[in-house]
Amino acid sequence: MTMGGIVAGMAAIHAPMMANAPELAPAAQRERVFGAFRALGASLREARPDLLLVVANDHFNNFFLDNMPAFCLGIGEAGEGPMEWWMPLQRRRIPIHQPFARALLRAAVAEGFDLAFSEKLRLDHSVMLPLQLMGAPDVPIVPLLQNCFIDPMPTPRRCLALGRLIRQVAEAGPWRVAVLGTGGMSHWVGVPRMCEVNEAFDRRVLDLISRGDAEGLAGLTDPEIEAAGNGAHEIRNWITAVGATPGHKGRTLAYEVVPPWVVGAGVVALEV
Amino acid sequence: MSLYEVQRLFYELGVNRELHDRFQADRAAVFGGYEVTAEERAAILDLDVPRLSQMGVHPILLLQYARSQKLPTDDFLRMLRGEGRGASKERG
Repeated sequence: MTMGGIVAGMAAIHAPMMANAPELAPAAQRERVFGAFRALGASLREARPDLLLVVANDHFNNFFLDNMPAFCLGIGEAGEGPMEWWMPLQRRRIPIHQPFARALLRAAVAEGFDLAFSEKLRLDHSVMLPLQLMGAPDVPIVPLLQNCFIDPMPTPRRCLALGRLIRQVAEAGPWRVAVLGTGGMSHWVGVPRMCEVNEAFDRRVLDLISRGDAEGLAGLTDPEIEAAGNGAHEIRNWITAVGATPGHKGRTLAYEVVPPWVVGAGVVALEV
Repeated sequence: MSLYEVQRLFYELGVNRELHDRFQADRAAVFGGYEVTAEERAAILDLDVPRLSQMGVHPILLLQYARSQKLPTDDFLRMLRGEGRGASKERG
């Protein structure tokens, strides 16, 4: 018998404007979103995890077009970030939970997920910003970076399956594992539509999660996601996190349309 | 066209602080390490956002380069939408 398993599940945006210019959002919206992040942090502390697996994505801060992994697992001793020096966040070195990272890597390869891995990942805002806004407890992390910006990207179905595998590994081991998917929701980055939000898409995703409709999430197509912006592809990180939870189900703690933050701002607590 | 090299420069400016500082000090000096055409080099040095976008520079790399050059996001978007100084400088 083991005592391990998924003890907390979360999904939330990682929009840089929340750090660079939080004051651009109306105070009431800002408080609702930041309050939801703090609520995630509080429930995470209560869950007493041994580690936090953060499903996030690179923004050309590690990988370039010479070598672009679909999935890359951080397995080194520690990660440091955020590596973007222009971002007003506290720089930290966070230990990586190597026993779980190695167990996941081995299990993934055995099950047909040939994950890339790195002993020296740079952590960018996609990992560091949500942790800071949550006031996350000081536990080791395992970063999993998914390709969410360079076509072709892993399918939502593949992400869901990887999430399920993460749960299997967690349940087979002795560790209490929390999982956080970061990024999305609808947003456009570096293109003329930047600052638009596709609320209908965001509400649809939140509704699928609230009903535990994993099949609906897995069936999202690239054109459907693209209609919510080139940044909406990061919803894959949420889907992997949802896949790691037993009921594939969660509750929306906050959702705000925040054009000055360039994003549909969702924060979700997943059921475990 | 050497889009790959243009993008490699933007990527390396993002991950290599020393290169970024060198570029800021003397922007022309770093081009030796990148096989870009004269037109690409001009677009980079002019921060010609519409032209760089038209060349196919990835939106994230383009935004990161604009940020590293302290171009305010509003100006970046105006240029990208053809409303700003970038449009008037567009080359054929």
